Amino acid sequence: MARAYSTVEQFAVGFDRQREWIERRGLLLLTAFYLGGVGGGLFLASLIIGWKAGIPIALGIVALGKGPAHLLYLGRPLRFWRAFRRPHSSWISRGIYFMLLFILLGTLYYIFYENTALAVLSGFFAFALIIYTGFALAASPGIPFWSNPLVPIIFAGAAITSGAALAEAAHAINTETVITHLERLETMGLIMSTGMVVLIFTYLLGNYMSTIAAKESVAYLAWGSMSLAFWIGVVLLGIVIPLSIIVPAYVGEVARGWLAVAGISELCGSYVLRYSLLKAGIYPPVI
Amino acid sequence: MRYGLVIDLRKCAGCYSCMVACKAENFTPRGVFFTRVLAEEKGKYPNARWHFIPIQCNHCENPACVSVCPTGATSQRDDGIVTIDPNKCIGCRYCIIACPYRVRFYVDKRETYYQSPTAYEAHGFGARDYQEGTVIKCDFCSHRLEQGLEPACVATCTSRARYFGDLDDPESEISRLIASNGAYQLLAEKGTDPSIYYIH
Repeated sequence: MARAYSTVEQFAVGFDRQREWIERRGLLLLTAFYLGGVGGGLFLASLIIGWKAGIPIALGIVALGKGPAHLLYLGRPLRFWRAFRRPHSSWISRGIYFMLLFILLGTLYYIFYENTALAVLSGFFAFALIIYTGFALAASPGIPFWSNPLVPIIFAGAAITSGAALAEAAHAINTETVITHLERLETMGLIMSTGMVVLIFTYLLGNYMSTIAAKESVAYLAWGSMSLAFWIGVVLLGIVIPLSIIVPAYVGEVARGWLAVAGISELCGSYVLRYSLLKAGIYPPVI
Repeated sequence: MRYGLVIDLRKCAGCYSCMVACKAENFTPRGVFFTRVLAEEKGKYPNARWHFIPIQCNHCENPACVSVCPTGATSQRDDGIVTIDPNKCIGCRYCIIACPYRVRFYVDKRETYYQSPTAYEAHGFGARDYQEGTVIKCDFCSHRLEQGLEPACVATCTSRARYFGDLDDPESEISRLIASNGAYQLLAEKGTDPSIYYIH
């Protein structure tokens, strides 16, 4: 069906939710954004803690997860090569370059592991990969909730948090883990999760106090029909459960199984966070 | 030269003839209306009234859809018309997201209104290059402009509420209408500078 939204909504004046990037095949795009974030975040977390085994996992998530999900989302996937043409103006074009350069340089870094220049370059493109999705959303003037400078920071923050969470879960499950890695990941998880609480609260509050459409988006998430997903998915799974495990682990001792639970819970919350942000993209009435 | 449109809402009767004429002229797929007439109820009984606002692609001077398109499929002609090259579109739908006016449509599958195409639909399949998996939209009836005709929505407007012309010409009818009637653009605060003006 060649229809952007329902027949009734097409002819009524009022708020309108974006559907192209979240419903039906739009879920593939959400998955691509998520896998790009987790892969890039895991790469950066692996760089920070010095975990070599994390690098091929991160590269695999991006190359075998994000890339194919993007292709499957496209209406004309065989023409994907055309998207290389406009990096000077389109964030989708830039994203493709970031992804390819990340895979290339990340692979080289894995091969020549001690090379500092490759570490810096691949780290730079990993960061570009996790932040560009936020810029892609922020470049949409039609949706005030997205057209906000905090969106790229939230996407980057969520990516690093979920990358650290994946690394933490992997370390917690593996009994041969290097203890210093786990301690660093606990510190990283604590800093990132706390930062995300501040970021999300600031972002929602700022939007609530701005335009009518942005306020509508916040209402839709906080007490509208998306509230269950938001409070359970984003707040409980993504923030409360991980923090309630990481904080005791940071100050004392917690069984490894609980650290794995914190990591997996954060990964689920991170997916719902992106889902919520995309779902709450609301256009203002045209008049 | 910059094509533009003025819609005088004081004259618009909400007859939907522009919408029907557009659909007939452009053979748009099932569920797609390049021109739509939005209806809004204002006031309360016994003083409630319907207001009608026809919308379509605004062919903005600073179109958000052009800059976000990763392939260059969406581009702006010298006369201001924003067009889509169906052979370049990859169906990423970034332009739909970026457009504040919701006037772009993604053709997932070209379905017909009935089980088999009507004669009209069969003719339309050959007449218009709407490819599955791509985005389509109004192009101010470029094929009619090439023949010296006005867009179908303008030519068919029963109450003559639509005026088509050159925004760059200060002596054109639409430029004078805009200047003398305090015409406004939709969502002007988005900075897209639409080429469609409304008189209320």
